[in-house]
Amino acid sequence: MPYLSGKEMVKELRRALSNPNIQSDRLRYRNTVLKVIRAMSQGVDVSDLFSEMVKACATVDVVQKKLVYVFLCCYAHLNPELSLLVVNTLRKDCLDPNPMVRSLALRSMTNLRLSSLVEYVEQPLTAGLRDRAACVRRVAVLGWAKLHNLQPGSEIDGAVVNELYSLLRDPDPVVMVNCLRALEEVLKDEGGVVINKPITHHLLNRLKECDTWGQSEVLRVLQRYQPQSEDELFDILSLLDSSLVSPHPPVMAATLSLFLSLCSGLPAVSQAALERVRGPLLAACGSGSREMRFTALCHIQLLLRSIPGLLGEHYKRFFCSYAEPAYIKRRKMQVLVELVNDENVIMILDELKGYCTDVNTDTAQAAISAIGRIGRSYSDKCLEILTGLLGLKQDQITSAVVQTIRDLVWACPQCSDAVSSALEGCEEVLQDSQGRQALLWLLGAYGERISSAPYTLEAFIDGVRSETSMELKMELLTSTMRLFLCRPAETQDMLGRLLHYCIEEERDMCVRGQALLYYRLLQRGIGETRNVLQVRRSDPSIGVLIGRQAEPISQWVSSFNTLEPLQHCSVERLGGPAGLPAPGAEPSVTLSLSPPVTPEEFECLWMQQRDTIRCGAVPHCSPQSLHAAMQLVNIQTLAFTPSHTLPWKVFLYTHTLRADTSCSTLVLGELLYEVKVTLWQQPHDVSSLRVFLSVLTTVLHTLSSEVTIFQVGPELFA
Amino acid sequence: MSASAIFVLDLKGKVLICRNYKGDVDMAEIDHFMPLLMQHEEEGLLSPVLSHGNVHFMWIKHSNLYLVATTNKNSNASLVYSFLYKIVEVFTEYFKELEEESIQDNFVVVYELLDELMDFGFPQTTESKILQEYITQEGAKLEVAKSKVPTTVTNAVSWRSEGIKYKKNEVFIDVIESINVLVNANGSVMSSDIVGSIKLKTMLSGMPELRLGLNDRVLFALTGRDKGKTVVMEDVKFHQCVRLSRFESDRTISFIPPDGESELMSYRINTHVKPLIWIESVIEKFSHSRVEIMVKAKGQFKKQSVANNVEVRVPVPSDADSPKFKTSTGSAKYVPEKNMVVWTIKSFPGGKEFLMRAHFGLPSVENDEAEGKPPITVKFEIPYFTVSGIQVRYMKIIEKSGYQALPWVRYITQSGGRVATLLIVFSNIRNSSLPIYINCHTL
Repeated sequence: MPYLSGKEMVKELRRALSNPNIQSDRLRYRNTVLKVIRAMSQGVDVSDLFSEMVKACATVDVVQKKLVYVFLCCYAHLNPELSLLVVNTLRKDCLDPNPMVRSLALRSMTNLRLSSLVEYVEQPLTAGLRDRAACVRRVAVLGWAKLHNLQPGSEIDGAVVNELYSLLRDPDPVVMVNCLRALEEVLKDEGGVVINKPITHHLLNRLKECDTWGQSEVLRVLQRYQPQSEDELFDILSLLDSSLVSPHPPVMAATLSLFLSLCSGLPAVSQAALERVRGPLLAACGSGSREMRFTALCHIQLLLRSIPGLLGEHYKRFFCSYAEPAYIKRRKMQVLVELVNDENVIMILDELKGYCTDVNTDTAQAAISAIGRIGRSYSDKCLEILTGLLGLKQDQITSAVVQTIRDLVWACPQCSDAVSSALEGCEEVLQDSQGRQALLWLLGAYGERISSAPYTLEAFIDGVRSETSMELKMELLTSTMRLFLCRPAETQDMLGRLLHYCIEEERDMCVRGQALLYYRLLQRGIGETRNVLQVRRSDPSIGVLIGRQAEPISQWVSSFNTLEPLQHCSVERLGGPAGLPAPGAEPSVTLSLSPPVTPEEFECLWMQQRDTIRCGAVPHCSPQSLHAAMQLVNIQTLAFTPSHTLPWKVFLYTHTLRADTSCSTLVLGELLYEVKVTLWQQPHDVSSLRVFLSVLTTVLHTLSSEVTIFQVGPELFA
Repeated sequence: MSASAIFVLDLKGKVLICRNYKGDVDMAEIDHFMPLLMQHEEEGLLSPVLSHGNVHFMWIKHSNLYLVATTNKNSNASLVYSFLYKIVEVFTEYFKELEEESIQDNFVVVYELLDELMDFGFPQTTESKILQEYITQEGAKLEVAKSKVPTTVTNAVSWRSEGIKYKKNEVFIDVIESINVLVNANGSVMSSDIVGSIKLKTMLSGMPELRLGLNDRVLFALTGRDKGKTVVMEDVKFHQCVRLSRFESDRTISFIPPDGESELMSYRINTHVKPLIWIESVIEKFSHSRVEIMVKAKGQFKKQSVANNVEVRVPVPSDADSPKFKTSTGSAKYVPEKNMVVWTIKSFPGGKEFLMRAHFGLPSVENDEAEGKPPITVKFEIPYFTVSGIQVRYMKIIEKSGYQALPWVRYITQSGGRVATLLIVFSNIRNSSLPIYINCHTL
């Protein structure tokens, strides 16, 4: 009936459904019901037909029954009173000799999701648990979970729980797994199903009978088990070895997750398990489905955080193919960057170079910045590629390259010579403001070595009137100032023009403010200006600790084999709502290192603002021992000044996580030898900061014999 | 696991069919899916997980459909994706083609299937052979099926029903291998692997017990024999009917087969194979006037073997026109909608070499957009030949009634399902303003 509008169609259908002639003819009746369902799935609102459909479910025709139940489950929540009428038919169906009908009726009854029906459903569900047919028991077991989900917090009958526990021994593996699922749901408040020794051994023995879904479920639940002895642990591990190399990625991942949580105290065993799982992991990365490949890659990234050398020799598996979607290519490049070592660096760079000219600009940019990251350890080779790319004169590539070079030079100042010769002529190609900003920064920083720098800046200054980006104007001001300091003769005139424009004509307050600042600075004399502008932004004596420390596996094991690793930066914690903190209780705060903070991010955040806490004395000890001690309490030391310099400085960071509100904060800190501790925290949370300080004090106490007392400034904790 | 609901959407994001399993996520949330997808695609941040508030959409695309699972928990992503692919597999078995029309035409079956596949967000029965016994596609078939309890519901062998009868008992074994080779621009092979599968078509009565013997190196080492050619298989995957415990202990592949067609096992072999058909090409592009392409294909396999249905696909610029071809054998055709020339050779004997020349005109006004540089791909099939040298040594069939049955074995090698081999030799490229087909390896 395509020519009828929705309303007319409903009217027509109602007439047909209540027509006694149609009702008496089974096929015609069924076809009419079919039309209703078709209209429903086409998006027509057929909820008005509810009462007619309720009548239609009293039939012996199983096909019609199925259809009507689909309809009822969809619209029951709109008509709770009328739904009561269905219950009788459903209960009758629960006694049908055909097990298919029984299971259908039970499932539909629990899918109506009406709390008013709970009292009628309990009896058939109890009977269903003892049904002869496995398919009915499967439905009945999950039915209890649905019932509990409908009324969260309600008391569940102890007898039912006992029965569910006893059904774990059901001959049908699906019933067994469904029991686990149901118990997890029903006993959610008590921490889920009890995993004791007999249950664990029973589940392990029957693992092989289950399908992949069941196996994953069982393995997940078993993570809560604590083996009583080391012998038992190793028995379990040997038993699960075949699942560990399972060809099904979900089973493999679930087993690995179980291994890692069981062996949390035995790093050597975890390491062995990871070595063993290498093959299946690589196979999952080559899986036919792109989503599975993506999932595998995300999990490999997680693994590499703890075991960086795991896949070094298999880097070729992470080369991108032409037809892969951009999200896979991006992840593969991120993995490749982690895998670089002396042997494979040339091959990897060669491959990445190929991606830099990809048609997809995002992929090309990702490849260029990947080369930049590799450049921190292999700067010569990478700079050669990057400068080669500038020769293509393509605006997007050039922009990405210039930005990458800026970041690279910041981390490795030694490569500035090669850079300064490569930059000539870039300004003509660059289009976007990000790239031009990066170029301006480089011109300001290395202007004395780039002969054309003043001319390039002049072109920018001449065009400043038509410039819209505020950031670019600020960058231009700074660069011109810096260039003025090293090449005054060529720059003086244009600096004057720029300052005049920015102070007199510019409408943006920030730019005006900055220009005024520079103007007044110049009035104070050239020496003063030089002091402010030509000092390097970071302390030159600070070297970034090369390479990131391997994280302990416990940092990420809880999120392994879940959705979390797939998301870019999951700021909000996934999972259920946390309970309110008990009044008066001291919140329990834990420190953690994830997500890691790179030296650049640290620097960026550090520049924003910070509070200073005066303290007594910080002991002076060797960087290695301090680093190791801090690592133990989950505080990461990021950089040290050389040990003979005074004042001796240490930069560190950590994340605090409050168990009660599950809100986490990031704490950055600077320890100054014998003077003070400077802290930066975001978001502000005094109590977790206090915990952090007490941890820090304890560490420092243990490190030195002399007693150190922190005097916490009142302004911070007020 | 816990998917809250499953949706099937068309390309515009309209819900074709949906099933709410848990009721903990508002069904209207799906309206955010398509705008999110478009927005992320535009920003180049597309990923298989999209999130709106605390609702996560995990999606896959199949022909002109999106299959989406919603959840508000931190659920097991790999399991959800495997489940979505399982849905595709089951639906495809029912409707031959899974696409918008087949969903609309069969929505009753789809509802039925969705009902059986999952309950309360947990996968239930997903083996399509067994599902067929629960589902009744047509009313007429229904009465027959419903009158008796499906045997597999209580059966120990869940993938095979009892009481199957055939007049002539036969089993066909197909060994199909496809090769993927990665060749870089200098012509050296970067990596190569073989993906093989053994497919069965079983027409056997009763509950037969089958044993398959392969020339597997591990097995030969176990039994101490060391003669003839053997192969080392990696990543072996079996159909659930194979007794894994026996394979683990003594490498015997023993099983009760599902009736009809099924894939018994698949494997991967990571060895160095040379490309079976070697392609060399010279592409000369004269900007604003013409492109000249010369492709040479050489069969690098045994002289006795013949490759069938060879298709060499050579990409050409999208603005090319007026094609002219000359081939030493086979026929070439321009496929403008895919921007490629397809050179088809019906049969290609080993050791032979063939040539194809193509000439295209180019418009005087050049297309500004940078074009991708897709590789040349080759598709082919070589019967009675496996690259790895895998062999079925025996197939034993044991059944209570003791009937005689015949096993038939067939070997086929194909080019990789995903992409095959290629090599491009540069010479004489005069206009290099647009880099032509540099990035030639691909997998």
